[in-house]
Amino acid sequence: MSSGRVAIVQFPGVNCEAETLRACTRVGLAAELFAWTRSPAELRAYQAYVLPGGFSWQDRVRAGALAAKDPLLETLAEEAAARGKPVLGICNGAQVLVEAGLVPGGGAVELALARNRMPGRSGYYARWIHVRVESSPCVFTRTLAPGSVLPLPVAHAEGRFTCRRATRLRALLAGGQVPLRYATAAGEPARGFPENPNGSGEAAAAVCDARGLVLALMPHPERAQDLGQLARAVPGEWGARREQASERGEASAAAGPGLEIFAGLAAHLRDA
Amino acid sequence: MSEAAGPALAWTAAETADPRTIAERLAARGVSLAVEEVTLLAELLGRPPTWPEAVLFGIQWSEHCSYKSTRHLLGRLPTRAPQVILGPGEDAGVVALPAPCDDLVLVLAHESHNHPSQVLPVEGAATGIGGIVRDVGCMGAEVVGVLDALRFGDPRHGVHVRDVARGVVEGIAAYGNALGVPNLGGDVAFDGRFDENCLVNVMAVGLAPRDGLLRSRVPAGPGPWVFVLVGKPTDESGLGGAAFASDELGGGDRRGAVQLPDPFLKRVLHVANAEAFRRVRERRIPAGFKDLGAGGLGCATSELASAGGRGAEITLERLHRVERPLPPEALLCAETQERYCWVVPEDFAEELLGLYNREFALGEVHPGAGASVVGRARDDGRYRVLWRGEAIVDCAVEAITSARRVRRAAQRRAPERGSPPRGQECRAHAALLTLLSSFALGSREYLYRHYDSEVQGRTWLRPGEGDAAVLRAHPARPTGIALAVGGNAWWCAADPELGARHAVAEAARNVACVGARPWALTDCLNFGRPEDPEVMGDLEVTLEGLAVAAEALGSLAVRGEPLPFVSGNVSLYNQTGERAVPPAPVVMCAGVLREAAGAVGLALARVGDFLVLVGEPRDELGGSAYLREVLREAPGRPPSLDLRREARLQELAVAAAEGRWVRAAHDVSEGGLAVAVAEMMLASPPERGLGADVDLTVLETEGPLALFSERPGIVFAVSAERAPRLFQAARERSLLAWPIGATSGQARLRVRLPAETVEWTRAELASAAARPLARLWNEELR
Amino acid sequence: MSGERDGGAVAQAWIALLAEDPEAASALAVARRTLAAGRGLGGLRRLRLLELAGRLPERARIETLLHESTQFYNPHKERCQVRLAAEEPVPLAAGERLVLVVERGGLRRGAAERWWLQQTGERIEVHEGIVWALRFADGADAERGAAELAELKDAAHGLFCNPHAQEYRLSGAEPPLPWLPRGRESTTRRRS
Repeated sequence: MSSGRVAIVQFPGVNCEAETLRACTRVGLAAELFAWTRSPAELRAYQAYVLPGGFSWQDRVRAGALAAKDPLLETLAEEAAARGKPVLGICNGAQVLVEAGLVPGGGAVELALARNRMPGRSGYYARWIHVRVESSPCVFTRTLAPGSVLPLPVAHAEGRFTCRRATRLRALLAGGQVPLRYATAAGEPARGFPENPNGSGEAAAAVCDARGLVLALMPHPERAQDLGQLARAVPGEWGARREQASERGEASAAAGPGLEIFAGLAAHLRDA
Repeated sequence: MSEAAGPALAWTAAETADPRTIAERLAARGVSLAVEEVTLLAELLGRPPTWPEAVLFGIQWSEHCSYKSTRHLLGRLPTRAPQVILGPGEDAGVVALPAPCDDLVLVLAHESHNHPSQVLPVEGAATGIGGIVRDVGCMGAEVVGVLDALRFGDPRHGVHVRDVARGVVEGIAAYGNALGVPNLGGDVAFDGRFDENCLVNVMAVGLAPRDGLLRSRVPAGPGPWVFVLVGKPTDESGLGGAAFASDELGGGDRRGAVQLPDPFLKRVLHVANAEAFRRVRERRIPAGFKDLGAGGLGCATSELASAGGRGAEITLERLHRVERPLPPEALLCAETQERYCWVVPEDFAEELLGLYNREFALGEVHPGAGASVVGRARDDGRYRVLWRGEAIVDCAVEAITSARRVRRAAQRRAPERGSPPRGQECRAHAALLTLLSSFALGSREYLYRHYDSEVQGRTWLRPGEGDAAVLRAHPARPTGIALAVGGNAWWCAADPELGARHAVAEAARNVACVGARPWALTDCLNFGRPEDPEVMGDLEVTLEGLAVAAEALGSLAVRGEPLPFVSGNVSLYNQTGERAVPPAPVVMCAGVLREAAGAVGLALARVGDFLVLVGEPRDELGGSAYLREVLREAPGRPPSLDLRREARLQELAVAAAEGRWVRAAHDVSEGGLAVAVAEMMLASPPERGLGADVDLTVLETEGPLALFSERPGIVFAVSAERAPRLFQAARERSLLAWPIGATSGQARLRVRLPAETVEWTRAELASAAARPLARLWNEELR
Repeated sequence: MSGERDGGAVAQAWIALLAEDPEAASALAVARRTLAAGRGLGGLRRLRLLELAGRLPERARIETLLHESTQFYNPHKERCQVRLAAEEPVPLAAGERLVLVVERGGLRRGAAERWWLQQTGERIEVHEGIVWALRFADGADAERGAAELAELKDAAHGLFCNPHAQEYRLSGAEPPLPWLPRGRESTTRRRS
């Protein structure tokens, strides 16, 4: 028997649901797609939720803005708040969680995922970057030691965490609500573009609520679930692992860095 | 239909006697029929056409739909091989995959969207992606990748040239990223001859269950069969789009003919289609499926009917459409994007409508979108369209779909010779930096970072990581699919026949470099006006060149068989006034890897690895970027190509990858060996600080030839222990192989030449290569 | 109010879709269904507002330039109305309340500016914003409704502007000219 039923919530325009579902399945979770036309009440039967990447409602009004108002999100907020159920938003899913006020939590919208700031270019930007794990109660990074480094791909046009109150992000960081920050391959803080691929405040790659149950994550861990998916230009420990596995012909089956995020969820649901 | 009581005709029977006046009158209203076609149409129908008929036939008989000038030449291409399941003829070609993926098939399609992209770059290119994706999707396949081959003008030639380049990239990114289909690269070239006519060729790749392919025809059996139109509400957009693509640029404002794409609606449609595919497969419901492209519903339904040996009766009132009033010819022929047409048994129609209209709520996603039953198949082979109780189209379906043929005069020209380079001194250091910072050879990274190349999670080798992109066919099986594009614009311009051979060889070699067996080809032939005998002559020899090369390079899939062309497209009238684009075939090669996990990238990986060049001797500078970009001379004829040796070279590359002997492989193409080695170095992680120490004196030739000759070859990076196997394998295949150096732990490229040793830091090479595209996006160049 | 700014003129280009706008349709449906202030909404339109600032030619020439270029709007799917003074009309209905939304710090259209320079020899600034035109049902407090819908506060309040990344301005159907804040950032064109 598997340790938890997970709903992959599929708004129209979402396009990463299949690989997200596969990542959940790989870590032993019973994941299912949950289409937006279904009743919110049915969501209560699940132990955790994932909002995958894509372009929900075509980024109409603003990326994530319309899905954030969907009754399904209200149910997710209740299930997280009242029953401690984890919610993971990846890329567009992160935008939805921020627009709905589930992250950093408490209901009020306190952040935006704004247009990328990149010297000499604008719009959509896709590349592999590194994130460093920070001390945090976040359930999705619980298998990872603070200071460890994960290579992950980003692919978005609006991924810059920003807040009107200049000190808010720093306070979130200090309070353990920024579990992943953009960094160099060696784990040093990102020194600018492209290490920080969007100009995000405090180099935040992800922000969670105070309990660490709801995570808005801009990079795509589901695209890094297999070791062989790692970009060839990734250096360091993970790059070396990919090369060795590749030479032995094992890169297909071996776990990639992104799988850790889903493994964290699986471990949490096992313990819960 | 009686003339007395029937709908209004486009001209009177008496006027048929003066077809020239009629043709002019039609042209003024946007219908392109040649003078002789006016007569032909009236003869075919036994009366003058109604206006909707004139519009429908104008589109069906356009070059875009009918290939009337080129069909007889296309027969030259090899299209049969044991792996081919469906060759050219439908929207996409289909090939079988080997075990353990023999329950899947690979679906390939290739199109151009040149004219629209020149006029409205963002929408034009996006619509190109939207159209090619439909071509693959309508075979019942999941679309797993798109590629694009782009030919832009010289960015220094004006703001519109730059706008086109930037807009096309934006359009491709906006559509493909939102649709959720990974962009797997392709190629891009810049040349002043494309200033007024850019080329935007798009390719799509799909996977389908072998026993679940959908065909574009009314199925066999009694039915009754109904046509179900799904997708965006019909509007007047793109009316005459196919005729537009077959018309040269330079007229008035042609922006009206560009269709408006909607990747969001397409995404939801594809999710809904996937569910529909599942149901018809599981319940074995016979069905036909086709996308709506040029000619809209009229072309789609007549072709579905004709391919099934039936007729059709379409009732235009039944279409879901925008609220404003539309004339019947718009309902019938508009090229509104994001639409498909099903043919299903009548008793399944209700469920199919429910799937699109309720379960996937298309109407909530896009105002007015949905599914509706628009007509039924007839057994008598007539094609009738009803509007307000009148038959506004009434003819034999074969009249619409049977091929038109136009004979064109062809005149072949002598290939350019080019003058041997004047004995200029070679400043090797500056020359390589000049090449890397040219538009021709600069890094494409700035461009492809606009694209999502990883969505769906299948991507194993991304653009920039290897000579071909690689996908995993199935997450639990090892099989990989490789895709690459070939077609050197300058070579095809200087010598279309030889250039075309190289286009096939290069695409296949790229695929072989990553370790894949070349499996199938697609092509698009981008040319000028077919009325010009030289254009037709170029087309003839291009097809000859493509065919000869394909016949020689198929053995890695099935020994002794050609590499088959399974899908393709001809784009004519890429011309503004007297200025036609040079002959520009673009070839895509799909390859199959035994193991995606063994895909060979191009990056240097380990200090101490040997660098080995295998291929032709470095004895020609013809056609080289060095002549063009550094010496600023006419590049002349492309380098010679021995197809038998080429086949053995590709066989070696595949053997080396399958045997896991090599750690990197990179095709020597534009810019020669110097650029190839520099690119291998720049593809490795900068943090690793790898470089290369190269000794080209082993090539026993002068510096410029050693560095910049573009004769075919492959550079391998191979460990010291495995290098002997590589040399032995080369000897066994009578291929020349030279040890040219080794990977070093210092971030620099050092090259020993007969007369000097030259050195570049990695940083200076990287910054030179990064410059051209960053400038194109941020500056106004002179 | 005049169209002068920093010695040069300002022209507004009001750009609206010809066909039904799925973005406005979705926003209207969501606002009505989930936001208290949205229940009084009778209609919603979305317009793009461009402001051209600098030495500008006469109206007809501006209109021609905007039409010729692919940088400003697509005449096949959009219509464009040029406004040179605050007294001139805008493509709005009486009673519509406007919410202008811009990126914090403004949004410049670098590629459009370069195109203009190339065509006319004049260096101008091109700024962009989105205007939501709200029509409230009779009896609703339109001014208050627009203000409430403008600023995103939480799931149940606000929609058009996320104040952490954007700013907004409110107006009746006779908006000022110039209206867009002067920005620092430059960008290439975005999807329209």
